[in-house]
Amino acid sequence: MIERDEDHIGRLLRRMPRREPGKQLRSACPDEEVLAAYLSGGLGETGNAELENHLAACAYCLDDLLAAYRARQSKDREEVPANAVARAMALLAKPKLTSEIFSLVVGLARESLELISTTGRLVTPSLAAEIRGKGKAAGDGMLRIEKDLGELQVALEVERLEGNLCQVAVNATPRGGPATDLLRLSLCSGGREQASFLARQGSATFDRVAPGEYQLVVAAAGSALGAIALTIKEAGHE
Amino acid sequence: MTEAERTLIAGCLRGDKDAWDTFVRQFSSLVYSTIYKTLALHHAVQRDQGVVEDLFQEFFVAMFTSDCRKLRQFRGDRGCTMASWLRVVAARLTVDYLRRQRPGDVEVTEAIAADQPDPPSALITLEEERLLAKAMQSLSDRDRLVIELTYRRSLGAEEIAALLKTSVGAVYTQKSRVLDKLREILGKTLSL
Repeated sequence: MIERDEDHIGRLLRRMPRREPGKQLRSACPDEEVLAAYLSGGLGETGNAELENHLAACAYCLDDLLAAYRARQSKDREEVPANAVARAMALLAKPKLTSEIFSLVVGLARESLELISTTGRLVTPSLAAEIRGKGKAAGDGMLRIEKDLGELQVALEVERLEGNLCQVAVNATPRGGPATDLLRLSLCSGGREQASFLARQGSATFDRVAPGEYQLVVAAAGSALGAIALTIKEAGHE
Repeated sequence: MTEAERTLIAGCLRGDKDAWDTFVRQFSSLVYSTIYKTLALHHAVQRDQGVVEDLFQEFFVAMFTSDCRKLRQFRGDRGCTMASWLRVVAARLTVDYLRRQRPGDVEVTEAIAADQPDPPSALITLEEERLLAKAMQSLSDRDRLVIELTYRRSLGAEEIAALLKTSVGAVYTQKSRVLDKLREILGKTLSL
C-alpha cells in the first residue's frame, strides 16, 4: 500500500491547474456588497452557505474576497499622494452654486390646493395637467408654475391627492427643441434625497408627497443646474 | 447604512461638489491602501509605482461616471458598512487588473517543467493528480473551500477560522477528515 502523507497531497493539490470560472458561473457571481457582508458577518447562515458554495467553484470571487480580507487585516495605511486625491475630486467640477429656479409655497385647504406664494409664473388652471398628459381640466386641486432656466423651460405641477398627499410632477424641456432623457430630477428634503429619476421625455413624477419643505433638483451629467424650492403646508396653516 | 453614509451618498448622487469631495477625502486612504496592498501581495508595486495611482483614479471614475452608477449599487442593507463595500470594490478592481497582466496557468506549467521526474514517477504523479481532481469533486463545497484555502492559497488555520467564522479546532478537524478521505481514495486506488 502506497502511503500518502500530507506534504505529498499538498504538493499534488498545488499542482492542480487553476479552474477559471466559465461564463455561466461568472453570471452568478455575487456583487461586492455580498462579499463585504460576508466578511462583516452580515449574511446569516443561509447566505454564508450559498456564498461558500460559490467560492468553492469560483477562483475569481475567492481572489477578490481574499484580497479584501488581507487588505482589511493589515492595519497600515499608505499615504495617498495629494495630486491623486485632487484628480479624483476634480471628476466633479466645482459648479456655480445650485441656484434657485423658483420657489412655490402651497397650502392644503379642504379638498383643494391654495397658492400662497411663488416666484415663478402661474399657469392658468385649465392649461395645467399637461405634464402628465391627463387631458382633463384642472380644478382647484392642481397648480402649475413655470419658469425659464437658460435654454430650459422648467414646469412644476402639484396636484392634491387623497388625505394630505400630493403628486408632484416636474418637466424640464429645451425651449423650441425635443425633450431630453439626459436630465436627472431629484426630490430632496432635509438634505436627504427622497426619490430620484432620470427624466422620461423631460419629465418625472413624484407620487404621494406629504406636507413639508422640498428641493426639486434638476441635474445634467452629474451637475445640478438649479433647484425648485417647494413647500407644502398642511391644512390650517398660518 | 448609517445616516451619515446615507446623507453623503445622497449628496454625491445629487452632484453636490462638497459631498463628492468629502467622499473622496474620507475614503481615499482606504482605497489607496487596498490597491497598494493587493498589488504588493503579488509583487506588482515594485514593477510600476504609477499603477497604484492609475487604479486609484480608475476606482473613483467608476464611482462617478454614468451618473454615479457604481455608487448607486450600494444598498447598505446587509450589515456591511460603506467602507467595507468600497474595500471589496477596490480589491476586485485591482485583482482584475492583475489578471489582465498575467496569462492563466503559467505557474502550474513552470512547476511541472522544473520538476522533471523520471518517466515511471511522472506516470504515477499524473494518475494521482487525475484521481485527486476527481476526489476533490466528491467533497462538499465547504470541505473543498478549506482545502483550497489551506494548500493553494496558503492561509493558516487561524486565518481560515476567522474567514469562515469558525474555530481553529474545527478547521483542523475538518482538514484532517478531508485528508484522511483523500488518502483513502488515493491509497485504495493505487495500491498494488
